[in-house]
Amino acid sequence: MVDRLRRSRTRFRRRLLLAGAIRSVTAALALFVVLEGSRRLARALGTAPEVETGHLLWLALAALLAFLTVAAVQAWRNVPTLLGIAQLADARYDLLERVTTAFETLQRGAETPVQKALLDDAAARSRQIDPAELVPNSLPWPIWPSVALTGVAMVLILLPQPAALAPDSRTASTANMEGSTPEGRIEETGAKVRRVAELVGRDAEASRDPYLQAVARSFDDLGRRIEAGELGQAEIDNEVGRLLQHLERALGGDDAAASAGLLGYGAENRGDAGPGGSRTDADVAPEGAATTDTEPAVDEATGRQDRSNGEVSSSTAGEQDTATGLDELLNRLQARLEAREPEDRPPQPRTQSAENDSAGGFYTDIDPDLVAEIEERQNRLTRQRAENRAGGEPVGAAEESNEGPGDLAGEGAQPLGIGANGVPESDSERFDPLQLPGGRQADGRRIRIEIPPDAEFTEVDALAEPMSGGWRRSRGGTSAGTLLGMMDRDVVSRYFMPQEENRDGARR
Amino acid sequence: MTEVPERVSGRQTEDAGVTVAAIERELESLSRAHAEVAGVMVGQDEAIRQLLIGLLSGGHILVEGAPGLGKTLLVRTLGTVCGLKFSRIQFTPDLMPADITGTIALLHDENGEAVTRFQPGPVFTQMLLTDEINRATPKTQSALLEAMQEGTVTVAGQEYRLPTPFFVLATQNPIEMEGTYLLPEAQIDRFFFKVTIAFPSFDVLDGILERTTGAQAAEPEQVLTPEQILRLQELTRQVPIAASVRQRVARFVMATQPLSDTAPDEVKRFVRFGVSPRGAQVLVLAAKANALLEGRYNVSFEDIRTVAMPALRHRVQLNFEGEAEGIEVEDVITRLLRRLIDAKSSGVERR
Repeated sequence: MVDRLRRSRTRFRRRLLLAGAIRSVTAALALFVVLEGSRRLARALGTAPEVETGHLLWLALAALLAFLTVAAVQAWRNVPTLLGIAQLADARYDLLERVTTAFETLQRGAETPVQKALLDDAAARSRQIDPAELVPNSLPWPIWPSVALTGVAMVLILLPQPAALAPDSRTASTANMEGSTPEGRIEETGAKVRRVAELVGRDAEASRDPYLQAVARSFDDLGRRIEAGELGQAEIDNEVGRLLQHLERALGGDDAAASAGLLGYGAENRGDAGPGGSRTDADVAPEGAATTDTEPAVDEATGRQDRSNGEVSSSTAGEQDTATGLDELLNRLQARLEAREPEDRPPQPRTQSAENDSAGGFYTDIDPDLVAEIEERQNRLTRQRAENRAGGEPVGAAEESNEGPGDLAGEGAQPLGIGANGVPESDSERFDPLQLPGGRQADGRRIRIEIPPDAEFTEVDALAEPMSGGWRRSRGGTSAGTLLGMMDRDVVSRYFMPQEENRDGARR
Repeated sequence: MTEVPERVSGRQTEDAGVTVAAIERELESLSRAHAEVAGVMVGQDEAIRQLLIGLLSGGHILVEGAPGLGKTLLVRTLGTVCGLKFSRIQFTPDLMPADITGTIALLHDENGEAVTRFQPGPVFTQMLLTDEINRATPKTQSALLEAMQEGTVTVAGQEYRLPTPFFVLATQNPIEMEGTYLLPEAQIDRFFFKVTIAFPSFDVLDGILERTTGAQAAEPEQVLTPEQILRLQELTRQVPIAASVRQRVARFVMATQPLSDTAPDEVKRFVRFGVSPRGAQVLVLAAKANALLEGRYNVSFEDIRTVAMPALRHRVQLNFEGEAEGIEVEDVITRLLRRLIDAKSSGVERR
């Protein structure tokens, strides 16, 4: 009898330990789920301190150890005595306190015949006591709902999240799913981005397009930041998508078909471009459209781009899309450069009529009177810049920032280049540090179109197809290109915007 | 000639000296005695069991029931089955104590000389039936109660020991209360059990008519001897009780005290006197006897539950508010039993 009671007690202690362990694991998992969920939610809201999932795992592990310790102490303290087990046996097998009384009698020692008869009777009846039946391994049912809830929560945590809640791709869970380290993939992505920057830079050098050069520098800077591990996957996706938009603009007027192919990645990821990368005029406006509704929103205060336009489906899918898209982009850029290199020569100003411009740009013939007028304007502009530099006044439209369409091109106080006064000292100072808006915040670098106050807009022939929306850019030289070339300056692009009162008319 | 009872000269001790097999034989005899009485008294199994419990415990029983329910037959049958000498006293208001205990009589011896000799009364028997005890005066009742409590009778300054076993069954008629002397609480507490004989059901009544109105009435046989009863009384006291059961009884008795902190609101409101410590002793002792009757060697909660009502119903006194509200003592006890004895939530003893 006593042996059975002892075995039952051992099982009881084991059951207490098991229940305590399950409760501890459940509590630790629940803690991890709550912390991880909070981290993801805060991250989605943009208010999250950078806490790694690994840190949360360690925290949950520490909590698990603490819970297990408490459970072990409780199991040791709450295990019934043998007398308590005897009471359980009496209740379970309806033995009418035989085992309890016999156990107590045994402890005191049987003296009377009745007590001896009781011990015999109890010993005979205690044979039906089965420790496994008396103390089953089944746990109290209130444990299971909490276990089930925690399990469901864990499954939800492990499942891929919506893009808005996608966690950092450097989480251990994602790494496990992909079978490679996130750091390695990010490093690879950074190398590809820098390779893109190199190819775009070569293209920009060939075309002498400062906008394209700015795009190249931005790609290069992004690549360095990616390699430095400063960005998460979601941020990488957003940045790459944003720069691809600029790359599309830079290439859009020159080679529409090529840019459509190049920007397939960006269009897919952004999800806002039509087939072939077709975009509205407002979307492709270089500067002024940055403040329009259809441009990917750039928070000028924080430099954070709206994720609704640059979102990715998930961290894992985003990594794959980024890698595939960059590979494709690299191939196309390489092909574009190879096609360009045989005819590697400085771009020559072209003189042709608008009717012959099939690429969408249009040009005017050189007029000697116009050259003289431009010289006069240039001299006047030079004098005014000197005066402004002395007086600290910005040039161009900046001093009448509320007037003229040029104001739409950029609301910032910083003119093209750097420097508080906005007048670049040299070409290197003017172009080298120039980068595209967005991305890194608070560096103040922007592309700004300067329009002298007394500028008179040239009336040109109408396009073959009506144009609407914001600014359009036309690459190539102008009639003043030669003159500016003598001043070690160059006109790389011309920007056009339809007059408001004549949007559908022929006059531009 | 009446046999003169022995004078008290010292405590009588007896060693049971029995083995487990002997115990089992005694219990078998007890079981057969129960069946024998039940064969005569139709439909009164519960009353028979309670009488046997009182007999095994050495207690005296107050039987309450309407006239004609077989109280006298029950007691006489039990005496026959147990082999006990039986006497009956019909209590009346003019009954004197000497009519019960006996008196000093002036007699002539063999030589013709006048001598005084104690003439024992009807109390000098082993089983005494006192019919309608509440009709005698308190003085006479007290004489009987002394004999019940002490097992001795004092006459003319001389104490005489009553034969053993000594078993009193007093009946009380709940009707015709006019001209009766209700037993005081202190005296009624001396009765081990208060057994209520209920009116039989239709089937029981039909059985009674069949068995008692024929040409041949059922005659009980003696199954036990007085010596066996004494041994069974010894065995009863040897039955062990677990501490958990004993403590539950103590908590239960405490809860019947209106001034106790553990008493429920119902007790505090309606109860005047709760169960005395003697009541608690009776409860445990009766539970032991019940266990033996069940063929068991230990006291269970079930035994406590079984004997609680006859052991306690005459020990709990309701106050005026309880009487006015129509509260029944049995209901109070039942609710206390349900709360303190039936409850399985007493918990398992832990480290």
